[in-house]
Amino acid sequence: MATISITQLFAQAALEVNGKKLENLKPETVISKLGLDSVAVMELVSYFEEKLSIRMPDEDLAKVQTINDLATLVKRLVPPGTEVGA
Amino acid sequence: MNKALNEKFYREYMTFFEHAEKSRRWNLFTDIDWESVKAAPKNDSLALCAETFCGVEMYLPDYVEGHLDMFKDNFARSWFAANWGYEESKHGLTLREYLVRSGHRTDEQMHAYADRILSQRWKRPFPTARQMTAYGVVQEMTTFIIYKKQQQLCEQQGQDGLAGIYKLIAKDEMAHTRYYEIILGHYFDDDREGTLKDIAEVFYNFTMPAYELVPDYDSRVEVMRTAGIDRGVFLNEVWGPVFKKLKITRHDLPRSQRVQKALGSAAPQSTAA
Repeated sequence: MATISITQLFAQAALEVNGKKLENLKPETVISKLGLDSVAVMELVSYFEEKLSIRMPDEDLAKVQTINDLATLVKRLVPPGTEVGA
Repeated sequence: MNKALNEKFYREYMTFFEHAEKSRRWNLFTDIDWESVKAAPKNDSLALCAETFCGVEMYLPDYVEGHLDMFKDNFARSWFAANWGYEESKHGLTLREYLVRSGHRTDEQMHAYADRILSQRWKRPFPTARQMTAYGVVQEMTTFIIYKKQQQLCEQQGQDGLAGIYKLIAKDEMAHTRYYEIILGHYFDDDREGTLKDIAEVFYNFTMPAYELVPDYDSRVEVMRTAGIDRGVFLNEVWGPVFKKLKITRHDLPRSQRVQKALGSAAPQSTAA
């Protein structure tokens, strides 16, 4: 099975949901510095949840700062055997 | 309008009003330590924040008009709107008095500011009473948090008079939040699915009232961010407690139209754990 790249999926989500092209996105990118408002970020989260069939608890999401943090959270929630990378 | 729901709204308004009359009323002229305000050292950053909040409160005629127009056929809700307008008018006046009495602004500057404010119009952001109730919960809660943060900042910086002002205003804002939460709870009991849709509509399209209309907003927002008011606060400290109070989670809300479109389906939200 191919590894899911959270960086790539994040960029794809931003483009498809918010029409925003995010360039030079890296695992260490701080999400709050991307110029997305809080509603847009929650829409991306909702997109992720649907695409990956997971639910991210709000208390865990509150701790997510970077793309890498998001990847760590997603890894914890996807079914066993699903490969996730930042 | 549903008669049973209307009766509940009336009872809730009477409870709200009784509590306000018995234990929450305060007086701009006698309950604020104006001597402390005058004696405190000047603080331009706190004054700019106060002026911004004062400006937001100054759109009161539009807020009241928007609410009374929506609720003109509903006794309890229109009376709440009138009472709410009285309380908010006091907030705006108090902040204005702070700016003048503290020496940060002159009367002439405040008149000119009011003229600039009132040359713009605020429009009701959502069309239905239920959506505006959900909006009311979030807007009042956000305002409460903003004022509490300002209060803490003032306390840290020895601005006790202004801290006292924010404490009084924040108490009113929390009372408004609780009222709207209870009303939204009644809507919820009456029509859970429809109310969830309305909450989602507000969740995905919320903006604070009139901030973008306040003159020189872009320069003000930078100062406000340094005062601890940012996007993270909105998610963690506003929506989180609101969802908890309503005993729902974000996952109970339908997806936004933008997400549905991006996913290419309008299918119900995944229930995968």
